[in-house]
Amino acid sequence: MTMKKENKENDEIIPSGITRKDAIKKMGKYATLTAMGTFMILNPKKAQAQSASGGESDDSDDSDDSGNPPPPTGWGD
Amino acid sequence: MISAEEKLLVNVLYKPESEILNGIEIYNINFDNLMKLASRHLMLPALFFNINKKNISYLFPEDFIEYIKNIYSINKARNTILLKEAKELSELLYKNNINHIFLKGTALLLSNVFEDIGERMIGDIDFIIQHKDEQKVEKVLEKNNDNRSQTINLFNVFKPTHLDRRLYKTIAIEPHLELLEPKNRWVFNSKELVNDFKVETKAIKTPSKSFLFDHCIYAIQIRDKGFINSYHSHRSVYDIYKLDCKKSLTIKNIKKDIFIKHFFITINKFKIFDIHIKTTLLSSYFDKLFRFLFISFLKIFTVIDIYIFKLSLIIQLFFNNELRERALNKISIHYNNKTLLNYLYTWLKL
Repeated sequence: MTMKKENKENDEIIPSGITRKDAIKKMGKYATLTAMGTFMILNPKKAQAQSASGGESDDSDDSDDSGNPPPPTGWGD
Repeated sequence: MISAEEKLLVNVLYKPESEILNGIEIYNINFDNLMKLASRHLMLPALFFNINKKNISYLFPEDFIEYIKNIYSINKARNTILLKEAKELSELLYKNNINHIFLKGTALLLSNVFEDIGERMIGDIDFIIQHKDEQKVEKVLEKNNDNRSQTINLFNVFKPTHLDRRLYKTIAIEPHLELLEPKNRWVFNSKELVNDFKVETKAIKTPSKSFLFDHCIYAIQIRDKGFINSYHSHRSVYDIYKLDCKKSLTIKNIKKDIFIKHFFITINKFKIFDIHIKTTLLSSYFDKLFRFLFISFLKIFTVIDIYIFKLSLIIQLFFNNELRERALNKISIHYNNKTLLNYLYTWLKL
């Protein structure tokens, strides 16, 4: 029962078009290669809360069809 | 020998779009290694910023860009909070008549050295105060928001480089009394900032660009031992590049100071700065001799420093109740089995 539920959750397709399983795989690959110093500075607990509101809206508003990342906010000021 | 990944990192950071692939076969790049290298040097946000600025994201895998974009966004959000807290902290210190100057990454951000505040990764808010304000700062920070771990006040022969690192709201702060450790203060010390402290103002103070240039190089060469093991940090190189100190970046000035000269010789292989330092047989012999004497001095001073510290600790055991209590607690864990500790415990308790 639990296995099935987990599989269902992992296969759930989120709006960006990839499954949660894929997303975890992708983040996981580079996250394991990233030096600890980077994570220690970013202090995810506090920084994530701040970036979640600003960062997510940036994604939906500025991404173009080619998949290129949007310009950093404030760029060109 | 520079790896292809390091060459690409340098080209992305410093070269114009048309020259980024000069001498690089993009198919030979191992993006996992690039991730390891850039993150080790705390350069992921700067890498993303430059990729975006130069419109070269097509050269990188999509998931790579997506990942470093997230890192950049989180870093930018964090730096926004950091700047806000630095300004609040400055107001609080001025309210209590404490003169202070911001240092390192925070000073670079406040001086608008970077095009974007998300580019630079900063660990904490560093600022320097005058020795006379040491107690005042402790009191003010304790009253407002002191989250440091319990420490015992010990007498130090040499002024510590900074007071205890502590959390101010969400970002850690480090109130400095000096710029470098005691053994290195003969090279670079807070006297350099005397004139900056004299300026009467209640606005946020940062040192001049030439001071930030010197501090950045001395920190990497002396504190991080770049002078001894020829280590280079891409974050420091990027800071120097962004500081754009035309006055300091002349061959004459560079040759005048052996630490600055060594910094530029170490990074010469990347060809970032248009500086060609010629070394003669005599000058390289002199440099080697200086390096030998410098390392010997550091070793001797470290040993002396350890013994002075141990001696002062023993003397303070007689006068500092807090310290004696802590020592007793530690001894009490072991004293049942060891005769000497048992003796010390009984002796100190009396």
